[in-house]
Amino acid sequence: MRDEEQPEATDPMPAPSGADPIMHLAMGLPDLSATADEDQEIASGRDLNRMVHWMLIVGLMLSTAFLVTGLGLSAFYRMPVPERPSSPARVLAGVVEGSPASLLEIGILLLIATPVLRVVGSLALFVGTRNWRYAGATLLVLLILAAGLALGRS
Amino acid sequence: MLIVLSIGILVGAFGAMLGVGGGILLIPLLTGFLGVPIKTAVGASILCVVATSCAAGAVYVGRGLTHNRLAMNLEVATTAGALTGGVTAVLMKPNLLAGLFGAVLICVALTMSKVARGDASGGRTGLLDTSYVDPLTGAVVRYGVRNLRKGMAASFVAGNLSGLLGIGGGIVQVPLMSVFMGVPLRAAIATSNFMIGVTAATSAAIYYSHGYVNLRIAIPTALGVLVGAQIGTRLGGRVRNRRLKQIFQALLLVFAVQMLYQALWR
Repeated sequence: MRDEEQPEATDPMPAPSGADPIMHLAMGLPDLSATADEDQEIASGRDLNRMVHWMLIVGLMLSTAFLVTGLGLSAFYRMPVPERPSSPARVLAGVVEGSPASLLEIGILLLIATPVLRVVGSLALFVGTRNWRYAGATLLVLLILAAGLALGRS
Repeated sequence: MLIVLSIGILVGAFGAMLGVGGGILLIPLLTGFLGVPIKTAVGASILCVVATSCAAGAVYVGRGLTHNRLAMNLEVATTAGALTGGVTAVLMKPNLLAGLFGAVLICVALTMSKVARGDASGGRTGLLDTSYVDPLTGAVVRYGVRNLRKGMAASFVAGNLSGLLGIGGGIVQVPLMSVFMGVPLRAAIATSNFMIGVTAATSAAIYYSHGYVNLRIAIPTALGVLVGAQIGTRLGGRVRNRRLKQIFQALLLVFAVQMLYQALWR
């Protein structure tokens, strides 16, 4: 039991670590074990958690890889980091050439894309579990994101 | 470049610890100490927010601290706000932007001061109930959410600020969630970090295509932030709720003053 710190945000009757539900009932405290519905929520919540976690990490790793490689190469070849980003077509062409600037741009684009991919991933999960309410919300977010991109192009 | 990198690390650490994207720290630092023009700073900041969000988000989600479902609800509002804000920002005068920034920071600082000791949260509400394990005490904390609709409206405003000022909006989200919506501070911080990534990505898309992102500044910042976020999430877990709030408020005031000074005297 940890007594030196009272958690500042807890239920009126906080659960001590390592709680035993039966003992709680015996002591007149509310039963803190989850109901079946909540188990469902919690289970799918955990799946969501895991997927989001995974997507964020993958996105970050890829983005960092490109950025670090790009920086390394530009230092190696004594090429300065460009100031303004170029168009997508030039970026792709640049990658083929192995231009560090293009690698950097892809790194940044991947960084921006990571939260987007996270949203797409959650959408897939919600559709898969037939959670239409959250699927709808996620889809809405994606549409707004797309609008942002469209506005950017003009 | 090393200076920018170190700034990035610092900003990332604080951002991850406090639930903000780091923009509110980064912009004053870049414009104040390095003399970077504000719109460039905003562009770098928006990337920094995405970086902090993903990095800190990954850690917090892994620990189960983020309230994913709440985040996804609020994100609809914040991204819509980011859209309108971002479009407006492109058209706005830099001085006006800086002044607005300072004013916002002061407002948020004042709001946080009005909060009573401890959080306004506690107990399940039947709406979006969830729980987490407090990293400091090891206790299981259960809570629900209140005032969802008003929270969405406020999140829309936060989104506008994000698009307008290049911040993540976490500076509004954290107080909003912990004071107004009944989310414990630690979870509010984690959830805010998670959310602002999408908000910032929306703004980033607009900024990037309009050429406001200066790669020479943005990239070292982003890398620094990624490192800093790792530090910040771990550090934050060791600090008490009350201390976190105090640091938050102090920071707000310092930077509010800084930005207002910039707007008025530069």
